[in-house]
Amino acid sequence: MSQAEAGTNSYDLIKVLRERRDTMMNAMAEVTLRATTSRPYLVVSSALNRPVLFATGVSRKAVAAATSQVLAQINMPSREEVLALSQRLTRIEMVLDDISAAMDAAAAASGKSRGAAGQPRRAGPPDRNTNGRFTSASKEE
Amino acid sequence: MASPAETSPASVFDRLSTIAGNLVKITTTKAPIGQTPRQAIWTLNKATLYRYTPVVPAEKRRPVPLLLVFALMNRSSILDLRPGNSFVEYMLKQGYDLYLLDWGSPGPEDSHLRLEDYVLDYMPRAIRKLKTVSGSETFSLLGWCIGALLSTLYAALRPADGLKNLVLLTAPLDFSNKKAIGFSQMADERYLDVDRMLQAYGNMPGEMIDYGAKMLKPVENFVGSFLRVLDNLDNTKIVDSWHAMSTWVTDGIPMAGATWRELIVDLYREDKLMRGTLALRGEKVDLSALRANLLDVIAEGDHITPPCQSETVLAKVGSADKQVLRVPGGHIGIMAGSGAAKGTWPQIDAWLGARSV
Repeated sequence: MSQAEAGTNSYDLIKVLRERRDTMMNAMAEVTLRATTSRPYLVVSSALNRPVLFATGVSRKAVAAATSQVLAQINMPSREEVLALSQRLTRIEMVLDDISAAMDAAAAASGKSRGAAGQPRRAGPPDRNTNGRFTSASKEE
Repeated sequence: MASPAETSPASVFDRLSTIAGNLVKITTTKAPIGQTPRQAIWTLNKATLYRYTPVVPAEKRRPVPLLLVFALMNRSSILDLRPGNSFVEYMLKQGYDLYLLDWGSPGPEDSHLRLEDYVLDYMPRAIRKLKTVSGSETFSLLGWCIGALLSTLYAALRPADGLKNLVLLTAPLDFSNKKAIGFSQMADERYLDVDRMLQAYGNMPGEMIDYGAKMLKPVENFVGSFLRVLDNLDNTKIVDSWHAMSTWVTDGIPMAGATWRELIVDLYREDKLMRGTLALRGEKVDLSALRANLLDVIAEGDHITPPCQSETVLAKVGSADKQVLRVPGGHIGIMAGSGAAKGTWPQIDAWLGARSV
């Protein structure tokens, strides 16, 4: 057998194997889909999930309670207090946004530009907060 | 038949080296995605409004700006996947003044966020900024997946806010056909305990949402996708495309717990939007109040948001100019697949361009 013929045969073999594999995969996909959308599958997976979710919820609550206690003893704010503060800051951010928009509108109405109203404001050097978000009004990326 | 040149030791070595290089690349690195230059012009909590740097001179640009709104549980970088395969890049070249509302990743402090917060607090403020920056009182809105749901709610609740054109991509709006919607079975109250899930996690983890989506086609997603790339490891173009998509798919973000609850209970289970009983902050969502020109893009092979979830909205809205566009492909493929640049994008541009004057 020549080298070229051997190459052709091996290529064909791979092609045939792939076709067989794909046919098998398609059949498997149909069977799996039928199984995972069946009522027994949903009942079993739900039954298995329930205790896991329950345990996760309970342990999360217990850890939060214990952490709150420790934080209170060392005079530090609890997780809930920090979360509430964050939500309050978002509300303040909204009010500031409204004030800024009102000032932009007033400046536009009086024909003056407030930090080039109508254009993105160019702030000083952009800062990153702890989440890695830019906190300046404008940032080139 | 393999030519002698293809089977020479040098070419075999080159091929093996390409395969090894591609294998290392997809297993050890993340593809650079979302590369088009942009500027953050507004932020609120985790949300950011970006303006993409225009590539067309101002006098040739379309006068109506376009705002893109993507889903809450995935990164918006799918709209700007990679150079040469980016909807953002394409629309910029067509002369749109392009903006993107990126929701960011909610933290534990955001678990209380509901649909009403996104639709009535975040979107109107981002749009107000868009109008200030663009200098235009009217704008177009393109929402994709849950972004399309949010856009629809906004358009119905704020019809006088300057929205001229609304493009909905694979919008999950009608939840009445429980048998056809794969997620409806998973969301059934007999199998899914929403309260317990949120007690355990606070927000709905991105990994679980991704797992749920993949379980709608388990073999294709968990095995087939990897076999396809293994079969083509010597083809760098295919590998790069797969790598970019894989980077995006595996970069899911959590969904705010309260929003996820509303999505499951109010929409998947009770179909409140289509029944006309959905209210956000006391305001009833009346789809007939939606007056903007509407293009409803439906992916014919979508198993995440099957066509039955989007096609019925046209009969409910009050728009005089409304059209359905059926595109072959899946939920993501219609916009980020290899055929999107010649299929979906030009059709969206043609519809939007004619109405952006």
